[in-house]
Amino acid sequence: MNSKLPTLVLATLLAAPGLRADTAAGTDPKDELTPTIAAPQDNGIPVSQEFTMEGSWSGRAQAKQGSADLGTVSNVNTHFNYVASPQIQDGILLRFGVDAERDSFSLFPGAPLPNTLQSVNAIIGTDLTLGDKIIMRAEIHPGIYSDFVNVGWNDFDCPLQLGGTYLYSKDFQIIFGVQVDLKSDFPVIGLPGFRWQFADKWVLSAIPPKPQLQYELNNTTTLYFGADILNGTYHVNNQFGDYHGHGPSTTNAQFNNNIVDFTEVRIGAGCLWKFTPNLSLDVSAGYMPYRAWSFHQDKIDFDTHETTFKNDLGSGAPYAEAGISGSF
Amino acid sequence: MKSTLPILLVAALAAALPLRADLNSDLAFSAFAGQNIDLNALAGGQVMQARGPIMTFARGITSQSLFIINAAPADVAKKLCTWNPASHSELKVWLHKDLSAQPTLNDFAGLGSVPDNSSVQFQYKALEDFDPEKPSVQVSKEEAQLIAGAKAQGGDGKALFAKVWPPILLGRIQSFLSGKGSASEDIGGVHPLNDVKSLLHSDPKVYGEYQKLLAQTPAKALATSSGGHMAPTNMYCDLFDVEGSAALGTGAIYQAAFANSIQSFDVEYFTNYGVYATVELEQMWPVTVGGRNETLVWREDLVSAPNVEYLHGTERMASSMIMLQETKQGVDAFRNEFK
Repeated sequence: MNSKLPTLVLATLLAAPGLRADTAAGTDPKDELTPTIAAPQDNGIPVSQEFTMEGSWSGRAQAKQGSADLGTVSNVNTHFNYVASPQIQDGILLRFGVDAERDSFSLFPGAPLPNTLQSVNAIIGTDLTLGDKIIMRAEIHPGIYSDFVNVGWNDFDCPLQLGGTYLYSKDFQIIFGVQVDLKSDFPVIGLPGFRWQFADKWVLSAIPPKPQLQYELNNTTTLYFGADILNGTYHVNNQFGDYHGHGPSTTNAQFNNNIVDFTEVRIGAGCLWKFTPNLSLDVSAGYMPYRAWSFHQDKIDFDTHETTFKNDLGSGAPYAEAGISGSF
Repeated sequence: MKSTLPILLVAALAAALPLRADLNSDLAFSAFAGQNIDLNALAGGQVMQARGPIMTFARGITSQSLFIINAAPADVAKKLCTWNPASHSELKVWLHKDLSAQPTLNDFAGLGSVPDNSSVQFQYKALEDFDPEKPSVQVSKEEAQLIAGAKAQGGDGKALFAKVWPPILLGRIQSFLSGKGSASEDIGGVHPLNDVKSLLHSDPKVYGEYQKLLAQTPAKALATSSGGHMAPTNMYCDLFDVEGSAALGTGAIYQAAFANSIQSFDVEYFTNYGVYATVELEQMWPVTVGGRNETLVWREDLVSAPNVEYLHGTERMASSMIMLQETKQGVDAFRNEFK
């Protein structure tokens, strides 16, 4: 019976609001501790935050339509992402954020391609645990995906992303993901992946869109070799084809009000440096073997019209990328 | 010599434990309160687990487990002190050595013959490249100077490892047992014993359940001028893997019988890499399942680690799920000791 006494005293003391406020201050110096007072549980909602800022350049590569050479194009890609995640209850995080990405192309004269493809969208989603081994993520990304000329409702899109991670063990996880974008040339894309730490310092992260073989040089630096796939679906304005023909003073009216799927594949090596526990610098460079713009009508209308501009595999260009990411 | 006297004392007290029956009342302080607990499933090998909530204490992470062992509570409590996790290779414990009740430098002779693997090599290299201004192991400023002095006298990493750590561990043990933590023991502004207390305070219900035992240990007595009256049931040093690099630590186990159960408090109050402090709490009740007298074990693992502070959102959620898996691995290894 004696062992019950401290518990009762504890309960009585915790009922006093003044004590509750004092102990909730968070610090835990030795002198604040007494034998009969325990700090109450924190009832605040923990909120984590994460961001990514990255920029890259990929060099001039010959764009072709079918077998016809049209000219060379380079690309400057910039990307910013911020997400705040309140944990509303054990195992459930909400995700709210913004994402902005821009591909700015240096085109040849009279190119039938957009100068810019850009997206500005919100992120609304959730992460939740299923049992003790699965974490699911569901997000919608409503926003403007466009060439940003005469922006209107046709530029609005709302891709849905579903993903899951099966935590088989600390060293091996299986990942699966599905993206639904009804405007895309591929309205539903699903890709599996895995992360496997097969040796103390080696990780095979076969996870799209950035599959990598990673080597941990030390506690702060990781070297990697891998691929990076830039991909997006955008709407071009209703006069786009009128001003982007095959050469000066020509038009491609069939491209007006079209959807364009842009894809750029990169293969290279890089270094991830955790320069503070919260912040990482990622620098990489390599070769861009594939870049394509696929024009088509809105897939919701199920129109089969489609034209693709791309470089030949193997006649790509170099690329370089740098980015900073952090979580708090 | 092992400190067998406290173990015998606990065993004698536990022998008088009545068979308990009120599961909900006993587990009211735990994450399993109000849950439907199937003793037959637990006796069959199931381990119930629960992730801890995100703590106010940023470096802390916790999980709880519930399982049954086919032995009497006193035997389970004794095994907690005497088993050698290093005999289970999956746990990646390279060395686990019990210390005498009054440890001397001789207690650490085993540090000269640890497995020579890549994880342990980290410890050797850390000493060979040791920079007291920027140590790659967790030591106080005074300890850093001690290591720098030993390094200046020469010797490879393996020799330095066996030479510098015994006096440092001994100093930590003596300071802990004295119940008088000193700010000079801070590791980069962190005193591991403060982290122990922050971990213990993270859950008022569990803290309340263990308060009587904790109040008799140096972990709690640091807050008061009295306290620290109980001798540890066991003390140990160990060398174990943390994300591919070995960590050397020392800890103590305190046990006492209360009402219808035995409580165990295992505190690793100094670790030289990757972890600041770990606490393992167990409470053991006698249960009868299928006519057999067995032991229901509730366990909470609490860890303070520098990296945990920088895990956020989903990463942290995933870490706590991984912690459950690793804890279950430890529980399974411990249960195998009774087969």
